[in-house]
Amino acid sequence: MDTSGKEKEAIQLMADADKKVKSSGSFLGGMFGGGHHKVEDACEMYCRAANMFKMAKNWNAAGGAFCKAARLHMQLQNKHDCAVSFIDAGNAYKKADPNEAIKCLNAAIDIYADMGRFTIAAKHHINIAEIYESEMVDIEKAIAHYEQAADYYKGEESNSSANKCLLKVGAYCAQLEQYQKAIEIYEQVGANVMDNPLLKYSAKEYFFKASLCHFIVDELNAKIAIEKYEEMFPAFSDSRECKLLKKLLEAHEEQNSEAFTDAVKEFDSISRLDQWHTTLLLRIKKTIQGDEGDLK
Amino acid sequence: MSSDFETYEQDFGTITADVTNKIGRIPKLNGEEKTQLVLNVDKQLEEVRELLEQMDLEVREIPVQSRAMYNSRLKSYKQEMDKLEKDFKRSRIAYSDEVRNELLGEDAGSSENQRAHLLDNTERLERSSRRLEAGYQIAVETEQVGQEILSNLHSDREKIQRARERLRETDANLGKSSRILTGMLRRSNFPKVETSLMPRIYFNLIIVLDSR
Repeated sequence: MDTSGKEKEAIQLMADADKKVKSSGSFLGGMFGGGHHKVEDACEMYCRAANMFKMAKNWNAAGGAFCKAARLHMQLQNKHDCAVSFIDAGNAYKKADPNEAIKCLNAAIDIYADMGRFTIAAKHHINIAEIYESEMVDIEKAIAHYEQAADYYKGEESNSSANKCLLKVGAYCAQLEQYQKAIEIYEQVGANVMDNPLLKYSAKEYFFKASLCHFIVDELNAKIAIEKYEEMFPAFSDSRECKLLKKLLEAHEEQNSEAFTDAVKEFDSISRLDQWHTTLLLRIKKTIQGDEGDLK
Repeated sequence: MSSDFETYEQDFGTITADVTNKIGRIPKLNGEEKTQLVLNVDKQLEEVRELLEQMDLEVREIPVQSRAMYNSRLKSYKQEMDKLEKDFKRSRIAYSDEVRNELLGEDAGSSENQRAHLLDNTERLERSSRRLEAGYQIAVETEQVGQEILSNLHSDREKIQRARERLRETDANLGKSSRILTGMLRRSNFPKVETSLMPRIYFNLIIVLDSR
């Protein structure tokens, strides 16, 4: 495929579209009512140009073209088309300029929120959060967007999607040592899913995570929390997670680093602990006196 | 009297011990040897029965105040006798491990063989343990996958419900649009009727006025 040819064609289309926009703003164009049609044609031309830029892998130019189309749609009061164009612009910019992508996605979110389409707005908040966590590594901002998405989802009674966002927030909060917030989130999600016949099997996982956060803050708190979770959700008592927590508490009370490591090893031999769990367990282990400081 | 009873007791103990030993040997023997031993045990059991009868007679002659104790002892001997008879009957038809060993060519007495057996069993146990552990791991993994699937199902359910709600809204809006369009059509048809009727009305008016 001839990418340079496509790019030239796209540039030509952009120039033609610009001319149409200018002529639609002229006195005669306004007089004879052709301005409206010209702007619509220009919109279409910008979109075609943007798609050609995409084929040529010129992401910045594609994003710019979609942005121009979006502004014209706004001028024509086509809110939905405007938002769609901003989303397309954001997706194009994602590959080249994350900051611009975020601006475009935010513009689309504002439009969708104004239209009352909160589910779609939430979805794009998640997109922004993902850009922040992967491209720009700004976890605080990612957390803010996940929280906003969760709020929107809750408002639309999409509890499952809201919980997914909250769990992301919880995981990042624990990593950033904001344990109290993480505990609140995990307890809230655990309580939500506990009574749901489809989701109740995941409750023990959330209570386990909350307990680990409690453990880092204070051992006594952890003990009380575990008892509370066992009362709330009796199935938690029989779970491997609960048994591990009790062994860890015992090892911590005795300040026995070996017993702690053995308990973790035993659990890990059945189901491998992920990076999040490993990090938190290591933090707990480091609180045991006379520790070498690794999970062996 | 009680001394005679105790003599019978001693005889009973000796004979029953011998009988128990012989009953244990019966399944391991074959042919003539087995027949001889069975007859021998039968004879001894008959002796034991006679001893029990003698004991019974002795107990009846013991004074009433101490009779209860001897009665209970006699009762327990009778129970033992019944058990011996049952064991004897079983031993005559019992299968012997020796037969199996003879068939399979194994020397059960060999300690080396037993050691090999033990090692083999230990290895088998370890293998089973490993297999169980692997099974447990798979079960845990399956549980995790199941949790994810259920979670996805739940979110899909929410999406479908949302889509259904939106469809209902769209349906309602389409109904409204249809009514509006029908009204518009009616209104757009009215001027056509008006324009077609007006010339006729004017024409009729002219004729009426002209005739006057």
